[in-house]
Amino acid sequence: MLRGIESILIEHWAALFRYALALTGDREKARDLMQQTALNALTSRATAPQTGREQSWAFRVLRNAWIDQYRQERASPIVDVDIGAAQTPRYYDDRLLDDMAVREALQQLDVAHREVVMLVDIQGFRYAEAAEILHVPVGTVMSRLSRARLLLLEIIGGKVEVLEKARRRRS
Amino acid sequence: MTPSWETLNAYVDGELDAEAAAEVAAAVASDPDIAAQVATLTRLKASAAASLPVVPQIMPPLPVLRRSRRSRPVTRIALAAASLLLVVGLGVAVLLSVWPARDETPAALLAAAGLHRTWISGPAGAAMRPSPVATATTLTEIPDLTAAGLTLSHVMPASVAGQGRSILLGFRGPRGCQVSLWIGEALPDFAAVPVRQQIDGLSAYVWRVEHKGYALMTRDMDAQRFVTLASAVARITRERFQVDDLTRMALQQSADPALPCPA
Repeated sequence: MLRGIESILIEHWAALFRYALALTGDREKARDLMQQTALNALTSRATAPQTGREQSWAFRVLRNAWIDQYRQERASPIVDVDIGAAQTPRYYDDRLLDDMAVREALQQLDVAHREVVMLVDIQGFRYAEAAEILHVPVGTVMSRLSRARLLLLEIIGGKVEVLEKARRRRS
Repeated sequence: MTPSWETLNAYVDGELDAEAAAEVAAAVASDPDIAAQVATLTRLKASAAASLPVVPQIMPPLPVLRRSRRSRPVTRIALAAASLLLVVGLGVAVLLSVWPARDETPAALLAAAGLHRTWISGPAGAAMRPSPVATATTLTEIPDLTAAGLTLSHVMPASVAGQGRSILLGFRGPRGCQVSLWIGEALPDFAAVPVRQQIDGLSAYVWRVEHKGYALMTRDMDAQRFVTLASAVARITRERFQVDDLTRMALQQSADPALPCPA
């Protein structure tokens, strides 16, 4: 089993490191988190992965390690970000969207929103897989992700404009 | 009915069932505003996916476990196991011990371990007398470990009757670390990746490259440093003794100034 877990960690190392970066926002802390993740995985502090779900298992181990670190510091890693529904933007100037702007905006998101974007958009997890990693219902992933994207748009554009304003500008 | 923002997000993510997706598609087709929102989401999703942070192609070296009061106690086995992850791309050393008993260890390796013990028990700074013959016949097979802070101290013949010719290279670090590399004929038990062994009380990693066998041994080097060093040396032997950037990084990682070898 040790060799199997080792192989999983090796195969998904880059993706896990990106997730660690998304959670910690700091390369040095991400390295520490990766170390703890490897230790937890290799020393059976985590349950064994199911076949076909190795990647989400590794992400879950990493996230649990991250939460454990926060608990040791007596802090809560996630504030409640799931209150209320995301307001629907009516218009957005897509010319503001480029990779650099999105990258910088991601850094300004709180960690709960950043990680769900990371899991779904960057890592390509399905909602159900992300929910398993985050220990939340699928509906929470859905709402958190939609809110995260709205926040990204707001960060990039300053404020999401409503359709009527856009129409006035176009006319 | 106008789809909600959440529904549009799920649509872009391909998370809606066929019926719901068809409803959104119809709304997109009939309402330019909804189409614009979907376009925005699609572009945002693509930009997010393209914003991958740069991650080294190899696993970043894991730092030595901090010995803070908050750290969990970990066993040396766990430490070594985690250190396996240091050297992806170099080949991963394996934590096994297939020769637990002294009488099962190949005689050539026991002899090499004896030579290593003789060397490390001598006065600090002493080098065993190099053999001119051994030096002359092995000059092309001496790995350059200077990136790890290890310099060649001696080359000794270490042949054992019936097990072919072999030599022992002694390397010394600036803070008391001494490691020896045995090079001889590979035995059937040797694996293609470095496998951890205990040889007469010494820590060792043993591997093969085609018909040649290698054993790196030490008594005092930290386990995490040693596994990194062994993986790097194994790569050097696989790459015909060339030290590329990846190997040099691993060697440098193995030269942890915080972990001198005990006297």
